[in-house]
Amino acid sequence: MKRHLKASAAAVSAAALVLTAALAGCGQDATASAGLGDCTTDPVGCNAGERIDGGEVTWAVDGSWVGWNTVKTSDNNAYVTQALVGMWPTAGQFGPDGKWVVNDGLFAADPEIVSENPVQVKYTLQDGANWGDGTDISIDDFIYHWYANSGDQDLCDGCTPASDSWGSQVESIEGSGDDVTITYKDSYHSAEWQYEEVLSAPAHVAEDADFDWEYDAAAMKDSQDYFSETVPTWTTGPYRITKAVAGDYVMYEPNPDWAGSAEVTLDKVTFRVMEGLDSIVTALRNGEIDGASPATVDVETITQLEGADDVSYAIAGGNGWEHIDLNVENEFLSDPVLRTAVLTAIDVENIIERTHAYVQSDIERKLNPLFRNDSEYFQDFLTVTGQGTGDIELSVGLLTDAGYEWDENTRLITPEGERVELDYRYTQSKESRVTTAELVQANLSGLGIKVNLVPIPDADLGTVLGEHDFDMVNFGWSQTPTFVNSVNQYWSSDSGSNFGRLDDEELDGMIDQVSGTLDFDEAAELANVAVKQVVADAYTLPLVDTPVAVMVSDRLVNVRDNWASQQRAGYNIAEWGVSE
Amino acid sequence: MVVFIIRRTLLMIPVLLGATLLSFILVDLSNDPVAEQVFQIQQSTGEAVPQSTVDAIESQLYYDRSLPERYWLWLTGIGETNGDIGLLQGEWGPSIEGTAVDIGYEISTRFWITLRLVLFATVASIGIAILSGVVSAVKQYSRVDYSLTFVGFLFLAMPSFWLGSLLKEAAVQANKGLGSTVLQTYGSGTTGFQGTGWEVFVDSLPYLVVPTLVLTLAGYAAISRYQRASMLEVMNSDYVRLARAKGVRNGTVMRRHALRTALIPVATFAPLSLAGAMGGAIVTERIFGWRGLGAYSYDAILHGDSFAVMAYLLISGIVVLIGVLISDLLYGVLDPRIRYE
Repeated sequence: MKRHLKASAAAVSAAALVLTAALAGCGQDATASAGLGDCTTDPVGCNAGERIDGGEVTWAVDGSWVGWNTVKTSDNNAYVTQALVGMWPTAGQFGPDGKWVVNDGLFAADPEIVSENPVQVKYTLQDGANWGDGTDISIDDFIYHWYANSGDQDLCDGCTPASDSWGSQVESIEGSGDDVTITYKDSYHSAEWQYEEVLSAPAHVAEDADFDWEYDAAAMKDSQDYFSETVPTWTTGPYRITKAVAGDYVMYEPNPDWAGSAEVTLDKVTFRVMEGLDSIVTALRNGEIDGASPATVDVETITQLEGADDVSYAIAGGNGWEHIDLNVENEFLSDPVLRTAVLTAIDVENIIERTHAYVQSDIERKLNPLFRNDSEYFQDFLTVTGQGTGDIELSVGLLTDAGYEWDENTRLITPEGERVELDYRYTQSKESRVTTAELVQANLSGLGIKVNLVPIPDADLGTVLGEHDFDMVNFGWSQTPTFVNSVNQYWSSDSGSNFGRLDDEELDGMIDQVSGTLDFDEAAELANVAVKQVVADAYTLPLVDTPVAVMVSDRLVNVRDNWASQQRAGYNIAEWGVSE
Repeated sequence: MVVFIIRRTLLMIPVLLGATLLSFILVDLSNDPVAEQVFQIQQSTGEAVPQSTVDAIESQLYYDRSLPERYWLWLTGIGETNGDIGLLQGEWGPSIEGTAVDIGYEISTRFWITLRLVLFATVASIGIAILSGVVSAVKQYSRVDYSLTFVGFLFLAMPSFWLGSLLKEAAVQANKGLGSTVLQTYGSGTTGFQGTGWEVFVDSLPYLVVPTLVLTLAGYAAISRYQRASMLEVMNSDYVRLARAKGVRNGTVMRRHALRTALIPVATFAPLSLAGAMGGAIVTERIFGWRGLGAYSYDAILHGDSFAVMAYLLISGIVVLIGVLISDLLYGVLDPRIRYE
């Protein structure tokens, strides 16, 4: 089957359509099996079951990491976040239904706003919340986290936080007893205040290691490196690490001092790095691991899983989404009419049918770049515009009205008399993107536009995007139920991640409004206004939420995937158990 | 002999320097680790990366310096540095992966993992190659010769990733049949296992079987052809004909006269084969999850980790040069016609 897919990618478009169409049936109705079968209708409660006391679980993580301090730029990735889910002090988790649940191992209640100007948020620590070494969590730990994330060299000299969007906005942190109040700068009005991460590493451990972090910015930086290089034996979660090697494995045993409410039943949990989808499925079938939630899935994997004994799997849209962006500074694409015509001529449903639908038969076209189709905030602004419909007639009409013409070879000519030619770029290692590129090329040829397919080596994607070295590009973003930072990052004219360099003053004003309210519902409404404007600008064409798989041994219960959490299936690790 | 070794060793230095300069330029020009890291952070956090962070990354990776200065610092460590660069100072340079990664430690640890993997495979492949090569030569143009040639070419033509996948599947089916998990398909040992060298080796046996088989089968065919050709040449030489004419028994002729001489090309090829395998087991290591030099270089190239790639290339270069030196020395030991002065 994979051989056919590869062939289809390499063949000319017409041949690809025939070959891939023949394959469509292979992946149909293969989105879940056995214990995970009802995850589509019950994402929060599927695969639930009674747990026995005891048992061991080995879970594969499909990528490695180099350091233990996820606050640091160099250490932060999805894999270490998954591996440390048993002990990391997360403020809470978004569930598979997109609903936020506060971490009751740390906090007694949801955070609350005590002042709106300046914004002050009060956190109430859970009674007995501790670091697993006899030391209670205190205000110093909040301050330590702030310093590490501030991006302020006076607080942490030489630190490279992965993100300073929270830390740079903190004015002060005060508190007494179990109450901690964070006061933000006047510029902070994020509707996502309740979802901010406020803890990472224990301040007392830094002090015990002789880092005078509070008064010496260089020592603060050194302590960050220390946490990066040192296996965290401290814990605030349901488990504590007994043995670990960075980028290789993490072994857990239950944390008897955990203050959370869920009862832990497993004796041992091991997260083990296992790269390559084929290796993971083979190891699962061979009984070397009990499950995994890798970031990719392909047809061959599904075939293997279907034939595996005592293994369940489910496939659904994950926390990444695919899209095609246009470079508005391109000499042709600077014209919004041409951009609209180009995006209209692309047939998204056809692309999905010949790529992602093979692995997820019930996959839907993504119709809002900020909110998933099942989000309570979802609004469809795309359908009415015709973008992504492959309607060549509509595109031709738009271009004709704008003064475009076609030469004797049916090549599109601009009103200035130039032939339109575009470079389309994509990472060549992803089969779906290769096929998408060929289909887009075929779609736009119907419009008389010559499209040159220019693949990007995986390691160069960042460079290509950063240098805006594309006319059209297909890549993916990660997503969570939060959106305030995303709307800024994707489309603000001064964002370094606005790779197509959209510069729309009206849109910038809308984005400022999204960032200026503390009300999440209101921010979502405002974000949708911004989305509508982006659609009108014909800048980006969302395709799908990228399908991902979760695969588990049938002896595991309460294990299911969670698109809304970076920890994926590990989001509820305290509830994991074995049924026999 | 000693003079020869010293002379050859000294000659290696300019060769290595030239190789490192060329490699450094190619590696440097082929990627931009700063841009890549910034993009990875954006992908990971979903937020724009602050300029202060970008500046800090550039400074940490010495990308705020020119290419010649970077090369000089990498080689000597002489100049304004963060104390983490300069081969002459025993520092391999900073990894793009951060301060938690020590390139020197990674290279030295992974070197032994790869050696454990390829040593057995190389020895086994040479053993099988000698056996099949000799049998093929002795039974030239017979069914046995054609069969061995066919099998050899089959494994030679088979991509190792495919052969690896097939054998992994075979291992799963064998385990099912045996009702156990005696054959492991991923990793080089039990997760978290610690012990003496011998205990680690014994623990790694279930993990060693399948990848060793892949490397052996993929590697023996070429050497087997060498052995066959060499054996045929010797069997048709005058001194073998003379020995036969004098009535020496065929077994003795083959063992004492023919095989001994015919082994010289393969024996001298062996160190090079091992050296090549040390740097070329990337695919096998990836498929079977061995965290050796090959996997390290793959990740380093993928992530644009320039100094890590350079470390790998340097080590591979040194290993190959040592392999060539040993090979040259073996000629002198095995072939009485060659003497080093």
